[in-house]
Amino acid sequence: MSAAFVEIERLSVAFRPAWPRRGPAFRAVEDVSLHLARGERLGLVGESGSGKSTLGRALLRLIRPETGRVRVGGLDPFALRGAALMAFRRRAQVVFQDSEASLDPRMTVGAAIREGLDIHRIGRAADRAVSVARLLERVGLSPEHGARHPHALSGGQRQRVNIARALALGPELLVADEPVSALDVSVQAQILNLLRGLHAEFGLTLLFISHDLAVVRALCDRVAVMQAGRIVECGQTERLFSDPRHPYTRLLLESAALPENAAPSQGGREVFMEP
Amino acid sequence: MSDAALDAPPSAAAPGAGRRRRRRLRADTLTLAGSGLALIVLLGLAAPVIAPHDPNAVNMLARIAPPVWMDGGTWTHPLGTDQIGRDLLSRCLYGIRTSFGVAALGLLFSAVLGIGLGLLAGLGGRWIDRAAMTVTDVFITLPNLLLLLCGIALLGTEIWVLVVMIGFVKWEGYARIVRGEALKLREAGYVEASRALGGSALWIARRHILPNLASPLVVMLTLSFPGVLLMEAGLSFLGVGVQPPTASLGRMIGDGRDYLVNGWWLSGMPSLVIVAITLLFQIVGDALRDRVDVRGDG
Repeated sequence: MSAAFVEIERLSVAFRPAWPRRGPAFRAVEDVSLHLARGERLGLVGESGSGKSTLGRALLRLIRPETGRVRVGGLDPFALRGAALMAFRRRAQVVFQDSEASLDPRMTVGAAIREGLDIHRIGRAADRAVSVARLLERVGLSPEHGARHPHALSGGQRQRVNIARALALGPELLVADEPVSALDVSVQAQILNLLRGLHAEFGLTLLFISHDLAVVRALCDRVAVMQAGRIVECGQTERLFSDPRHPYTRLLLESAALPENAAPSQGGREVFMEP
Repeated sequence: MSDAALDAPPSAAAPGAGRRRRRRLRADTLTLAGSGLALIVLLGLAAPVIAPHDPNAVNMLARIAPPVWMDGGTWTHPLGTDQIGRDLLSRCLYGIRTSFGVAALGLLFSAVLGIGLGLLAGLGGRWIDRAAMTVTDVFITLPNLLLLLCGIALLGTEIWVLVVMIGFVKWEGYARIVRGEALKLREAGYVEASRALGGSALWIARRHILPNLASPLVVMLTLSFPGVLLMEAGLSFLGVGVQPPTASLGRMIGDGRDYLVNGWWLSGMPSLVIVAITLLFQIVGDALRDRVDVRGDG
């Protein structure tokens, strides 16, 4: 699989108690292997606590795995130091679920979006201001929003800011950790549209983490189902939804088939999704 | 029932108005106490210009002269004189300068030390944290006065020694608060996002942790200033602080203690100044804390 842009090989992440240090570990991610082709949109679904977010964080070198291997564009982020690590940071970015907690309450929205440019010292002050304005417009906000503080924005607007901050460095891989789960359905659709447009525009490789099957179905090419730290099933979206093979996948699909979601796939949400 | 409700006076606005009034009152308290403090600082700074006498000029003919409003008091020495005839008003003004300066510099030193160590413990690894906190815990168990006296015995009684030693016994509080807040804030989503952007620990401390800590730290510094001032005063009272003839408020209280019966003002005047400074700082600190607690207000 030399075509894979992201390779996760037999990855395990364990959380150990603070004391005793050698006490029993909680394995959030256990022996997970997963590949993403460049430009692919992979949905990672599972109930809360199944290890989806932990997997995403390990991929971004935000937590250290116990065993296993990660490759992004052929490089192991955990082996990188200095300039090479900084280059990796520019290539892989993240959007979290909690749009409010993801933004420093003391920083203006513009400063938050500029943070990556400041850290990597990209461009001069004037260039950065131009970049911020352009990013704000690209995610559907106006440049005037840049002077506001996060608490003056709605949840959907804040999530747009988080996306703009992630895009500022021109990443190739975007890990979206439940980016729409805290939003209203109509706002969810807008953000999904935005992500879809950005994917098309920048050729982003997208790891989309969600517990919401309908959302994943609307956005992703392929879906991986996670249960208790393991990937139990992985396949093309339509195949997985029409012909789920693992009992847990069937269970997830059945529990999601509540009256509001039971409408045929052409109805309801899908209408919003068209760009 | 509904009639009674309709008949009731339109009191819906009353709670809001009450809160507004309280807030205005609090703002006024802050302004008032803050102005008082500014005035005292200004008096201390302007001491060389406004003091009527040389603070160290001895006048054996006018010893223990009473303040102007008592029998035998004159406008030459508005607050009276001490046991060797030095003008108390001038000495109080210079005393503010000394005591305030030592306390402020000591506090600054302790804050820098404590905040630095707290950030190191909170953002560094597990072992750095453990080492830093062990040192802090050991320091907390040592009696401040003992530490101060040891330091002064070893290093002498110059003013800078006093500043350094006061800083040295006061930093634990800041270290603990900053560490705790840093441990809490480093889990915040925006800190994790900053790490994903490539922000170093130093960057995160400077751009995210410290700005979010600024308000509680300002409150804490304000509220602990009186304690530091009293520490300087206490040391000077004991005779190991600021050395004569330099005027310091604590020193003046100590020097006057033998004359409490026939010249209460020798100790009384500097005591009043200390009480005023302490009280004003406390009021300003409380008002600031109230203001900081209200999020997104102003």
